Amino acid sequence: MKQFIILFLIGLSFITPLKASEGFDSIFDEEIGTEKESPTSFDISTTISTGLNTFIDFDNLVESNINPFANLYFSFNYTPPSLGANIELFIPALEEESQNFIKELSLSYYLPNGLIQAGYFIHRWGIVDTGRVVDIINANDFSLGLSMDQREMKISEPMILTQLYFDRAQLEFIYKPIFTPIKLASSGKWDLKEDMSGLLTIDENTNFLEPDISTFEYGSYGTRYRLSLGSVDTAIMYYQGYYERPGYNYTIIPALSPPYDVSSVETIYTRMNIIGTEVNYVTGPFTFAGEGAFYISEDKDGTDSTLYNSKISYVGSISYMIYNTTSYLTASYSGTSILDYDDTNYFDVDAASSPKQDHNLIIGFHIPLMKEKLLIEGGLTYQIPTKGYALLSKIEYQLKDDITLSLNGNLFGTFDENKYSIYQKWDENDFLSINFKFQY
Amino acid sequence: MKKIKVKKILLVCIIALFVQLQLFSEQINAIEIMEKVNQTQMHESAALDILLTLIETNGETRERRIQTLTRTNNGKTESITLFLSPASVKQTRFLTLEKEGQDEQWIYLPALKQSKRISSGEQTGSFMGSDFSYADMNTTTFSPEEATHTYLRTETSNNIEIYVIESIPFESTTYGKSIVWVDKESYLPMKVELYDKNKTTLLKQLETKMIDQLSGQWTATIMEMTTIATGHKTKIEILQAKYGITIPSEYFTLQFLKTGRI
Repeated sequence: MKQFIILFLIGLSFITPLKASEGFDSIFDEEIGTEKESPTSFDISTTISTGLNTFIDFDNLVESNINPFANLYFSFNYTPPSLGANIELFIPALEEESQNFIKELSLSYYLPNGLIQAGYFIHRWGIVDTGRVVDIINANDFSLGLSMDQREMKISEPMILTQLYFDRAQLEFIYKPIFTPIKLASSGKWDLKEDMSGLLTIDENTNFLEPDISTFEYGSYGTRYRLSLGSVDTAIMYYQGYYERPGYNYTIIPALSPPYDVSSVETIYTRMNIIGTEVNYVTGPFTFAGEGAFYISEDKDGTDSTLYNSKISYVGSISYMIYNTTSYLTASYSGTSILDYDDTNYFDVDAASSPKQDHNLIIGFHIPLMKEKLLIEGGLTYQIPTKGYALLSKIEYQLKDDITLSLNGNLFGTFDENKYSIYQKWDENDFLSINFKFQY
Repeated sequence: MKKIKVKKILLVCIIALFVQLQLFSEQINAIEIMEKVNQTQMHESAALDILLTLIETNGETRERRIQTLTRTNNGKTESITLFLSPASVKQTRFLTLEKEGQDEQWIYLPALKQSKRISSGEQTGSFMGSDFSYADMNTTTFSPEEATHTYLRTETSNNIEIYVIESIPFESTTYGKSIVWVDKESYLPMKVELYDKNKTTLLKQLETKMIDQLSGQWTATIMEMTTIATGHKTKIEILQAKYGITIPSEYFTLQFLKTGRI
C-alpha cells in the first residue's frame, strides 16, 4: 500500500506542475490593480532523498553497520479564492513503521484581515533560531535523535488556528482538542529511559495505566499578540495545556530492600499555565533575540512527585550577518530553573529528568559558498551543568539546482561521564549519512 | 612694468575663473545626467517578471525566476519579491519597506512556514547566488544625494552618444567609486563599472545588452553583471514589465508575506 502511495504521489507531481500558477499572475493580467481577489492556484513540490547512514563505532570502524534509506517528501497546496488546502507528507519508504508521516493536512479560510486554519499541522511560537522556549504548541519527537531543523522534530497535531492582522500587529488564537505527548524511543539507540533496574522491577506482571488523552478533557488553548515597533518585534503569549513529558506513579509492593516489585505504573500528565514573551531587535548586521516563559504547574507547591513543578525558562541569542555575504553566525544561551526542586526523592519526575538549574550554550553557523552551490552548516550545543555536548553538521553541494549531495555528521558526548545527560546517554550514537536529494 | 604684471595677474585670474566655471558647469551637467538616470529608473509603481541566468566560467548555467512588485507610497519605496524557481526556493517571499533610518526587510521561508525580519547586512550579500547583491538588484547607480558626480567625457558607440560619469559616494558601503556610461537618448546606464572602496580595484561590471520601451518607459531588458575576480556572470532578462499601475497596498504587508493572500 505504501509503495502504491509513493508511486502515485511521484506520478502526480510529475504531471501537474505544468498547470500550476505562476506567481503574481493577476498583476500581469490586463485587469491589473482592480482585482483584489487572489486567483485559484495550486502548487506541488516533491523531494526524493536517498542515501546511506551509519552509526560510527570509533573502536571498530570497519564493522559499523551501513544502512540504506529512501524518503519521499510531498507537498500540495490548492488555493481557490478565500480558501486553501495544504497536504504535506513525509514517507520513509524503507522503514516498516511509518508513524506520523502526515506533516500537514489542513484547510484554511482567508478573512479580509487574517485566516482560520483547521486540521492537522505544526504551528510554532518563538523567534530565536536555536532552542526556543516558547515553542510549546506541538510536541517534540526525540525518537530519532536530534535534527538541525527544529520543525522536523515537531509532531503534527489536530488544531484550529485563527490569525488576525492589524497593520503592524497580529493576534492569534489556537485550540487543540486533544493532547499529544512527547515522542521518545522506547528501545534502541535513541532510548532515553532511565535505567531503574537496580531500584524497581517492572515486568510482565506490572499493570500499565494510560489516560485517554484523545478526549476534549485533554484539550488546550492559547493566544499570542505580536507587535512590530520600528526595528523591534515583540510578542506576549498565554497557553493552557498539558506539559509534553509524562510523569509516572509507581505502585510498589513493599519489600525490605530494592529492587522493589512494581505492581502498576500509571502515566500522569501535568496541566500547566504558560506565560511567555519573545523579542527581536535588528540593527545593522546584528540581530538580538530573546524569549522567556514561566510554566505554572497545577502542582503549585511542588509536593506531588508525579507532577512536574513550575519552572522558568529563557534564551538569549545574538546573530551576525558577515559583511558582503549571506553567511551568518549565531550564539545563544538558554537556561531553565525548576522551582521547589526536590532531589532527595528519586521518584520525583523533575529530579529524574532534569537538573535543578540547566544551562546550555549553542553556537551555530550557516555559510553558503561558491555562489550558493556549497553550504556548510553546523551547530554545537554544550550543556553546562552536565558537560554534555552535541555537534550537528552538514556539508551540502548542489550538483544541479534540483539535485544536491550532502554529508551529515552528528557527534554526541560528554566531558564528565559521571553526570547524566541525553548527550552522555547517546554517546555511542555518533552518526554519519550521505544523502542524495532530488527536488522538483 | 607694474601695469603688465597686474594685467598678467588679471589674465591668470580670468583663466582660473573660467576653468572653475567650466568645471562647475560640468559638475552641474553630471548631476543633471545622474538625476535623469535616477528618474528613468524610478517609477511610482512597477511590476517586473525577471529571469536570472547564472553563468559559470565554464559556460554552465543555472536559472532563477522572480517576480517583484514595487511602489512608492508617501515618498517611501515598498517592494515584495516572489521567488518562482528553482524548486528549493519556490514560494519564498521577500518584503522591503523603506523607513526612516533603516529599511525593514522580511523574508518568508516556505520550508519553515515562518516569516522573520532579517538584518540589513543582507543588502551587500549575493542575491540568490548571483553576481548581483540585494542592493545591486535595486540600483547600481548613485543618486545626486548619495554621491559626487563628475562628467568625464562623451563617447560614441554604434552612432549612439554616451556620457561617461564618475560617481564617488559620500558614504562608501560596498563600492568606493563607479563609472557609468549613460545613453544620451534613454538615460539608461549602458555600462557600469563598480570599484572597491580603494577606488582603483574594479570589482564588477554591468553591461546593458538590450533596451526597449515597455509600458512607454525605457527599460534595460537584458543586462549582464560580471564579477571581475572570478569571471562569473549573471544575466538578467526582463520577461514582463508594467509601470505606473495601481498595485493594491495589501501586497506590501506582513499578512501577504506570511499567507501569500490579499
